[in-house]
Amino acid sequence: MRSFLLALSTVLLACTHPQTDVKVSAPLSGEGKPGAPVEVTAELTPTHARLAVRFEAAAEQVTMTVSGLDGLTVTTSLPGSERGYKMGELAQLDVDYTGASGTLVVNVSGTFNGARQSRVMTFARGEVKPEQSGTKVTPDSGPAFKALPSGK
Amino acid sequence: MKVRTRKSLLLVGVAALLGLVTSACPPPCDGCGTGGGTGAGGGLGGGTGGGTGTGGNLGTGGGTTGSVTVTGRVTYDFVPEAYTVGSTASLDFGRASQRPVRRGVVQVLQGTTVLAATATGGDGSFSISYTPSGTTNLTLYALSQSVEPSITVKDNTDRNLLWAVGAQLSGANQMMNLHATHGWNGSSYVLANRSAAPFAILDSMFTASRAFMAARPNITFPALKVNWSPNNVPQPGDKTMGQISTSHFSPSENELYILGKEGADTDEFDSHVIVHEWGHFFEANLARSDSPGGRHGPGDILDPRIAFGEAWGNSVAAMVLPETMYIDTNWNGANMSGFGFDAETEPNPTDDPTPSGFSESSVLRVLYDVFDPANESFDSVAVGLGPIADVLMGPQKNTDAMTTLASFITALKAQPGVSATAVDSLLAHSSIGRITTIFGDGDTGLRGMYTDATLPYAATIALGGGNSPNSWEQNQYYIVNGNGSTVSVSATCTQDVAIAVYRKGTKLAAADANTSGTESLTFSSQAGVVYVMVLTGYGATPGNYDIAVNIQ
Repeated sequence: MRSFLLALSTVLLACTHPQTDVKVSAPLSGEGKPGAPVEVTAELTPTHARLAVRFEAAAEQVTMTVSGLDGLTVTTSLPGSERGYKMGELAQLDVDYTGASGTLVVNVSGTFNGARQSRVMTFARGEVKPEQSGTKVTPDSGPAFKALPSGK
Repeated sequence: MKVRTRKSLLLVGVAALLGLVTSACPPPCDGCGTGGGTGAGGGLGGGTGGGTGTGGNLGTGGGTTGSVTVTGRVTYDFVPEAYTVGSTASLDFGRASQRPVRRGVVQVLQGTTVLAATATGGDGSFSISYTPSGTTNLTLYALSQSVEPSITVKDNTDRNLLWAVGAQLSGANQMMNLHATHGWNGSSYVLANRSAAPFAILDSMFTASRAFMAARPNITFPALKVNWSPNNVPQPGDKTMGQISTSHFSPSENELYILGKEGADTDEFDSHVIVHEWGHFFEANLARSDSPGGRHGPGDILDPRIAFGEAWGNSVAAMVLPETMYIDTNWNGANMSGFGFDAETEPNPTDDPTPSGFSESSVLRVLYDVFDPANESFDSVAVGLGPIADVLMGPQKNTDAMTTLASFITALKAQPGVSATAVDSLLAHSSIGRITTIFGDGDTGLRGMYTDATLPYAATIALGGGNSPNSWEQNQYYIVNGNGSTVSVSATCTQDVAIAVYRKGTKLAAADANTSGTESLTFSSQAGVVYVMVLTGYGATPGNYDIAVNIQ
């Protein structure tokens, strides 16, 4: 049972805007690639995000950037300076954005336990439909595929 | 810090798809001929998959009776990374090069009718013959699918379709090359031209598989499905929407997922990331991993099961690509960014401040030094890939212990021609003791992971709260020798804990129902059989917390 994350989510849900959508960069159930030991909880309203970045290890020279994709434009500039965090420390970031829907991208980079690492997490605001390319081909035998034009 | 009851631990330390085509080129054969075939052209018999399935017998591919022949080569754009040690990383589109699509499936379709199919050779070349009929358009396709071994790359956000590049044919004898492009226009990707990604992933997987097939020709890989989409984002949720959490191997699905979202994180050209995940596929299908999974990285003090598993993934990438520098690129706002580490050389200042069998960096460098030539003062071991595969698919797969560096090293030392003294020198360089048993005897830290639980057993242990559940601080193993009776296990704590019992890595029983109180389970034991009970803590409050463990 991941009691910490449940507790954190509950606290955030209990004190936020009715339209707030709380999302957590949940721990991975499978075998994932190496990355910085941080977890992020995001409270998303139609125009604003409050991000809680939890450092699972002490970190130095940390930079955090937030950007938007798929129609979301971040209008807040975060401080560009680097700083350190203790293990277990929570950093709070407030960012404003425009756009009815889209993807918020959070990049946390720094030196953790002596090693330079980073982790990128995304949070969907509203419905973000996958973009598609190519033409579906269904042969009379064998698997179907999506074809893109050959380049030169 | 986790406190042991006995002592404190100081960290010192398409074979089926194209049968006749594949038989023309026995593995390993990256540079073999162009496929084709001598059978009747365009056999289409009996596909079992249909639709979006993976089955289907597309026949023998071209043939001497075909009236029209197309020859050519299938290539893709490979984009290397640029990395400044200790700083940042990016994809270097200026140094992109064309690489062959090796042993990739090529088809000629007239409308939706498959007229012929073949596979490319090791240089990407092919020759395919077919007999057209009517005036319907003829198209040549290269699919994101390889033979020997069978690997497919599909779009998990678009009906699990294979990726392909295609071009129209004239219907006459001709030369036709197919090329998958990276689609980068200097500032962003053009989605319709971003076709190289699935072929780059396919090629990294193929490279890894063929390296093992060359070292041990009897290896047979099961079919592998890789999911890649430009919609794949580092966000948990619905995988059909691209929410895959991160690039990872999914043990429950036995599939890989690779990130592809421009502006967030793309991994198709991060070949070490790709092969790292392939390494987990190898473990799950041909060897064994007891890793609990979860987030991890260099410098972490991990449960030794995940330290070994992740170090294996990183080291196998360095071994087979072959390139020692692991690089992972991503986006930092509008700019590309990333990080890296070297399987061979420890940087200054170090990226492994607490070397041990609990550090994936330490284990990575031990494993790579076991593989690579004897090229350092402390490194006189150079076994290559074969013995490593033998250990992983043999004694490591069948160990009574958990799969850690201890079980691996113990088996490695037993391999013909391996000098235990030389291996010990490698271990000492990473502050790891002279491991002599699968339970880590010879190394204080690794042996300290195990508690000998002579039945009946009752004791209290303190785990380290506030650490990740896959950390060393939050895990302890108990060796239980079966007595032929039902064994009861309980763990009582004011915080959240879980217990599980394993036999040779197979989970026999587990309990993780409560956030505090008692977790309990029972299992039927066989006399003389070794079981391992794993206690895992989820305590979130920093500092030690006690767990009362009873096994009887």
